[in-house]
Amino acid sequence: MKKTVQPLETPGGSGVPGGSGVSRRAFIRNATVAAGAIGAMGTLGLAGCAPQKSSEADGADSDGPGTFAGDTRMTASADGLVPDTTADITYLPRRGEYPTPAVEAPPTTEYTCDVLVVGGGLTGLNAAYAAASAGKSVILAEKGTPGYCGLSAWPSCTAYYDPELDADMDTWDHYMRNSCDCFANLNWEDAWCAESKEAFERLQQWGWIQSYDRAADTEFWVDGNIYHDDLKGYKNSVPDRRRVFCQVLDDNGVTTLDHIMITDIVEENGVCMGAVGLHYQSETFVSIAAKAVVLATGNGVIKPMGYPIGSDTYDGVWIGYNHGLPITGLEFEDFHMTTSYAPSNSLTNNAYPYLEPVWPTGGTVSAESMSKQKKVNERYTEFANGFNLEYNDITLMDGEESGAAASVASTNGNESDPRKGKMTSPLPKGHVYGAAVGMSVHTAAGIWCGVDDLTCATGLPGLYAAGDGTNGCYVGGPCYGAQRGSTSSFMSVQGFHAGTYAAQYADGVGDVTLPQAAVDQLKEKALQPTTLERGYHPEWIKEVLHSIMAPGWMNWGGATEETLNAALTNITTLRDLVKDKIYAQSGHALRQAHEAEHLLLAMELKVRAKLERKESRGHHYRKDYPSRDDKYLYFLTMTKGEDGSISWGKVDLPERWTGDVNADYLARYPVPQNPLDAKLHYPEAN
Amino acid sequence: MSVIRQNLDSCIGCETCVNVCPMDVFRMDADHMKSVIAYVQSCQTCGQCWLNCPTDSIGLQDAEVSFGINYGR
Repeated sequence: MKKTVQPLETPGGSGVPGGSGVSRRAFIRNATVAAGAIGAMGTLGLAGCAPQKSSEADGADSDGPGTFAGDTRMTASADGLVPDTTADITYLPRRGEYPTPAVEAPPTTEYTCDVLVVGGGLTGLNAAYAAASAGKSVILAEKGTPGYCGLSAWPSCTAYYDPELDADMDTWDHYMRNSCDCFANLNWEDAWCAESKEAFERLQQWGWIQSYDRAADTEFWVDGNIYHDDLKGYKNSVPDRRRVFCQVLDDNGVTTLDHIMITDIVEENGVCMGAVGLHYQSETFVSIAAKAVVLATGNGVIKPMGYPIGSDTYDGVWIGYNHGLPITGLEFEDFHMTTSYAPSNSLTNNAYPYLEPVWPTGGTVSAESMSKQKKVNERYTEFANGFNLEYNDITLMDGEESGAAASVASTNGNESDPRKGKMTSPLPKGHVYGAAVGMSVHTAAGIWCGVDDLTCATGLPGLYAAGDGTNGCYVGGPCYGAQRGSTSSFMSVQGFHAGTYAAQYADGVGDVTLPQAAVDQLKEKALQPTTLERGYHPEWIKEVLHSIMAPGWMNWGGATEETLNAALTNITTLRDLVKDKIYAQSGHALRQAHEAEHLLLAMELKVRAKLERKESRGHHYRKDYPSRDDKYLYFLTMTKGEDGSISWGKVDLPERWTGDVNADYLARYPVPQNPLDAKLHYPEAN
Repeated sequence: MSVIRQNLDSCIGCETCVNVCPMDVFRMDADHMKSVIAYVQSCQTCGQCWLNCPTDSIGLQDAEVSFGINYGR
């Protein structure tokens, strides 16, 4: 059924059950999502909130909201009234808001623990849980609040493998090879098959998964609810699943440090001894001595529109690379591309079905159908022929086919399979994802931990890497799709492994004290953006990167040696220009300054890897090398050399992962990677 | 499109938006017991603040700013 997308209506009225009759305390109890985090921090909770002084530079001359002078931040100069560029301000109108208050520093800035987990997504949550269950003292540091950041706020279903219902392992391996361009890490795939059901049940037990067959069947569903005009209508009656994260951490005795960005790990004598970071809002440096550190920092994206994961900025890749660890898989990143003339916001694009509090369960990975999935073919054609300018032509999926989960959870017609696809609310159909440039194809990019590794141990003792965009393990190969729907359970599995092995490692380590000289140096580096009088704003750097990386000729439109070299020139020029000159005029921008530096490095590595891989595979499409070339049937790694230059490595894959390399091209790769590949190798497609 | 203030009077200072925002858009003004939309330029319109705001103080403006910035990339 075809429907025109309705413009989003701003919800009116209070819409709150109980309205003003409910006491404020009751509201707070219901509404506060981060109780654990707040308790741990002691700074952000209501109890800990001493009256805060308004920042002097930020329009504090006005005590009331809505005064014009306070909004525009004009200041007198020789040229008359000009915008005050010295203040920590937003330049967009904020009429009606109070001036931006300063944030108090956390009471504690030096921490010690057995295991530090960096990142509060599904990977970090499971890592922290595993380490805490092993009796370790655990700290979890998160840039925002656990559960609400990165990709873990947005998965659409959680698949698991069931030996009774799914294909046998040999067939499964065959599907995985075919759907992952003979590139999938089958060791981790085995682990997923063995442990994903347990992971699913863990998430279910925690309350993160709520079991409804279809969103439309729940009591929260409002009839005639087309495209979430009335999302708020049922949101108040159902708990937001994301708050479960903080509760689980709290229940398991994990100390949560929210709004802390880990800027680097502390390495001394070739061993990881902890990490340092910033309570960036108050521009406060913190250090954490830890026997073992688990990086679970997620992937990265330059422009979050379309898929709201802007807090993912390749933090783990930056840390790993700068500590001499091999980085892999970046050439395959990017798959959320659009050919629709879609608005640049996620709510009319993609976030709605993920935002709704009804959480559909289950889903199985239909490896068979995924092995036939088109690669970049379809989108390329639309790019080459010009865009669909009819915004209204974005149609809504309806009925059984609708819903993110339904799209992934095929059970091959088995109605009794408990993992049958669940229906979320209608969502737009078409390539409306928007430009999440850099976004992962899941688990390809990150720190390379080795062919046989299932422990997440990096080459640096004491440092573990886990999860999407941090551990480049290729469980889904270089393609998005084969593991579709199973990423949330795989992250849980891999996070659990990392936490378990980090805890074991911590058993063999004595008390850790951070070396003061190294910490002082890292402190200077972390706060450096605040010491500049002028420099380049991180927002500007992100915008320039977006302009360089986003166009179709950098990815699914077909990159070439020329387009990649042009991009590389732009990136290295930008890199050299802004080196040590990214400045932060506020705590908010201080975090962004570090993020921009991380993104800049990741995009340089990505373009270099795309240049190096002279073939097309997965979501890496080279127009000048349009087919898979088994000469490149290896993982590329990039390691920072002593002199700062990149040292290249290649990892040969076990035969079980690659299959018979002498087999016919069509047998190995049943689906054309792109239209040029189709012309060359697939007579039926022509 | 971004977060907007629908009704500042109804803000009860519960800090939910401050905590759930992955992009650090909000600050808490404890003197007035109100949240502050401090860095709206970082808003990615994920809607979590809006969804979780218990008093509909937070809204989302539906004006489409930079309509086509995504397309073709």
